[in-house]
Amino acid sequence: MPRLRLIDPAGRWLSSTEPGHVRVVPATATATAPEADLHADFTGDTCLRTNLVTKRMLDAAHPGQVLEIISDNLSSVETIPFMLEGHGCEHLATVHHGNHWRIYARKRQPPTTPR
Amino acid sequence: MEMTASGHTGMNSGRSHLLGAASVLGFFLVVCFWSYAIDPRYLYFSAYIAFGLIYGMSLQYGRFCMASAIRDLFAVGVPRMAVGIMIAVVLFSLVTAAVSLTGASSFHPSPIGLYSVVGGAIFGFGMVFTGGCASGSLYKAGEGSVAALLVVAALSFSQAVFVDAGGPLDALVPAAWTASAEAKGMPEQLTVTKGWYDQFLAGYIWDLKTVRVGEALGFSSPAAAAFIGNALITSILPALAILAFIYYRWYRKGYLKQRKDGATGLGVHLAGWWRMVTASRRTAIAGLVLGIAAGLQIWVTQMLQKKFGIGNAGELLQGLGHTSGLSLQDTVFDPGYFYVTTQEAQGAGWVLEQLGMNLRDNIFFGLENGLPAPWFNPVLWLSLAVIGGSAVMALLNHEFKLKFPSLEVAVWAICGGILMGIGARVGMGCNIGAFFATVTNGDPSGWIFAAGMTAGGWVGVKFFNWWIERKMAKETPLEF
Repeated sequence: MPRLRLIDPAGRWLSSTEPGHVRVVPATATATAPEADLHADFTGDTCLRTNLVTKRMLDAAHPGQVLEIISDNLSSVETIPFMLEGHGCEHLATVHHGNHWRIYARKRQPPTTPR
Repeated sequence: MEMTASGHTGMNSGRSHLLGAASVLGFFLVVCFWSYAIDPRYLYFSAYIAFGLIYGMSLQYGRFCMASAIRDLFAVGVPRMAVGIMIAVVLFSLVTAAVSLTGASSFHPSPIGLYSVVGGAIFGFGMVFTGGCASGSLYKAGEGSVAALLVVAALSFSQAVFVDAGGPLDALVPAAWTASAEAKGMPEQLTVTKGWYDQFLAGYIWDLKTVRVGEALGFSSPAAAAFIGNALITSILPALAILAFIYYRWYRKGYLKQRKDGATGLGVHLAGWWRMVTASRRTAIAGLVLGIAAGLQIWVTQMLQKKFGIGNAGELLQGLGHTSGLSLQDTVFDPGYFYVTTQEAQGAGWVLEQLGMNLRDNIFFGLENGLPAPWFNPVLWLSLAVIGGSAVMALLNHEFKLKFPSLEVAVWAICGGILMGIGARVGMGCNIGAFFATVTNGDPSGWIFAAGMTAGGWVGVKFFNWWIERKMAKETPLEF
């Protein structure tokens, strides 16, 4: 199961980042959240960066995949659910954990053309 | 399906958030009661504090931010915030029209000119990088965002320095501005022919005309001037037109696709338009509260001015024996309505004055707004209360988090904040003072500022998009 981690080459002062390439790790299911195929952690990022990278992620996802977007930016948490339909995704849940939020979305299957 | 589950971490965390909220609120209550006990005239300050708390709570609840409005529309096609702002504009204009009929309005229109577009563009460009407009940065600071605090600091100090800056900047002043400023016969304590901003004000801005649509259209009835001229023509119709355009450009296609019944026609589009307007409950409620509160503040301020027999808080401060921060006209900045940026400039200016800078020889501080100590600045208390109100709301909802920015975000915050400060001064206000307060009071210059702000925001989004693409191409390819 692939995992996307946004890397900031300038470095963050407090939160840690992993150097190097994207790592692929299994998704972790929680009691109240759907099992996700893709993860993106935007903790500490600005709203515009969060929204722009999420948009790319939504467009790049394959049909049926479940995405987990983690953010502590309330503006993005509010905006992202409204973005989903426009990128062929459905909003599954928004879960508030402590002081961050996890937004879950599923990429819809494309409509099938009747024979 | 959408559900929001909150995973609050236990009773202790909940109790500490409640205590935090109570402490913040308690601080402002103590200030209000204690100052009233010293002298009842400090009630004037308490009114600013009370409305600041309301604004802060509403802004935080609705995640209300004009930077979001522009950024979310252009970057990701989400009209939520733009819709919320238009709701607030419509409501504020109606309340203001009603208030003006009571004879209680302290509003002064801004001159009409191209400076609004230029100032708005610089401001709009800057706010894309900061992640918040002027009021947005205040409420985000209340949520614990240190980056937002950096923005507020940057825009405060950049204004204070900009309004006094001369030297090489004087070379950029057109000769006509210098001549016009000199001819105004300003007090000799002011050096109006030196300093870019002094000559901008005295040599250009003061020569422009102001307009309030209600008065300009010559309605015989004050009610018609207020409701038809100022509210309907200047605010409501443009807001509805903007909402219609937003629906057509960003919402219609997705809405019709979702319906699946293939139906079209005016009824369908009206339903879709209404769905767009009510899509975000939070934003709609915040817009409602902000619009009504902003209008009420004008009335409350006027009532207090009548009660205390004053026209400006400077007279109040004089009566209370605090004269050191007054302008040459014995005034201080006292708009009587929701405003951001000028009072922050005063706060920064006061700090710079303590560090030895002379900031009293310019029009902005010396003649118009003064440099009172922060605790004697009623409008600065409003800004502090916006931060406080936001903190209260965030703490009550377990949304408060002290967030320290990365170096990159900090640099964006400071650079964007500096641009916002300069843009606010050139544009004679920010998203609140130059747009929200103006268009809702029949002053069309606000729409000119908004056009500039939108254009600057669009350019900012395009640039930021390019920056992100470039960084992502270097850092991390998306792989599944």
